[in-house]
Amino acid sequence: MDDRRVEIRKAALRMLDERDGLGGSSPVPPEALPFGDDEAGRAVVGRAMAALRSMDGVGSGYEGRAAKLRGSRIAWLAAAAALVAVASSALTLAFVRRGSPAEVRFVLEAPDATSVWLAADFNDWSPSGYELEKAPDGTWSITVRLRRGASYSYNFVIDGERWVADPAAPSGLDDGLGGVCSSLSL
Amino acid sequence: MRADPCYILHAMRIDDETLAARAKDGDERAFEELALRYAKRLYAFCRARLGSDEDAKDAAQDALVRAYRSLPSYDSSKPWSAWLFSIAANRVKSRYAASASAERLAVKAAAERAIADEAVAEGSGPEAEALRALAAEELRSAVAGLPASLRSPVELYYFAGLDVASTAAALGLGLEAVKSRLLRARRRLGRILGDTAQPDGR
Repeated sequence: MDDRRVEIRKAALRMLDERDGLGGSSPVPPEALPFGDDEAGRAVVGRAMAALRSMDGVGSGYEGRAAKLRGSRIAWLAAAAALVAVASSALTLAFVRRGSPAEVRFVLEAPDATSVWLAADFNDWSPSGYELEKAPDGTWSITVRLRRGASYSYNFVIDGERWVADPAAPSGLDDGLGGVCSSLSL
Repeated sequence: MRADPCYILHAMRIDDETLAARAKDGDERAFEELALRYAKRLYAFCRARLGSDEDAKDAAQDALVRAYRSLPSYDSSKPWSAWLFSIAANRVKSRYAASASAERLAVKAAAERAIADEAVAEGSGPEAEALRALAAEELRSAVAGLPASLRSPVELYYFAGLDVASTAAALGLGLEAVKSRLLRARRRLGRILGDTAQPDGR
């Protein structure tokens, strides 16, 4: 190995040492982040806010957005209520109705949870709008319309922060991030 | 002249969770301030995983947009950073994991090393800065070779600069599990980067 490569590797090790030297109990201050890029960060925020403004009308007033959220939530709850009304099984992933698309009921037993959401590839891993309803026995459920002939990955999000695989799922997949997500094939 | 509300929020240094609660109530400025606080970390995290500047910007932007749209599910009594990075991790997984294969990362890292080498050779930047850029690429390349269970804690702790508790929360892991993974990863990286006999450190 040439001297230059050795020098680069030593510098890489020093970067790790610098982080270790700051201790693990507090975050690295943004200005001391060795891998960050202020300019890239600002560009990211600019692009994200522009995207949000074009999508949601953000910037036209907070009330507008809040009203929109309330509206979509009410619409979702109405839809969820209709779906739950036709659900006949408490079994995880039970098919409520045959045919395509299929209605799939996701169930999680979590009596101590204050909220449970469903994050999956079919909702772009965004749990918003996919909040499960709690039954008196401590189980949470939601019924979602999916397409047959496809495979789906999903996790439950407990209390808005814990991403867990479905303990009753037929199979799980390495999520590439050191965790497991559940897999479902229809 | 009227002060920019975002500047006021920044100057007041309101804590993340209070800002997030305001954002959840529809306060766009509060969300923008949070985004500014975490954009550099988000970018560094995405860059570590994806290996390309443009992909990292796209992923970080995507995570912020997703976070905004997922605000109804955020519990403001919980740490904002962990919540945001759990979304970022899932965004990276969902949209980019397939394309960020180890092979692609290795090719990208090699290409970026070549560009940085060229910059040094041409004397186009300060030597120390160029060495740092090369070292960062070397580190990304070494981290890409770690098993997934060790890689994610490293990306959040070393690249995004999160503390151990937030790293654990973002990954849905316990504190001790994350500490143990970080220690194991650190030892492996030390071996890879410290072994100067072979080009790949193996």
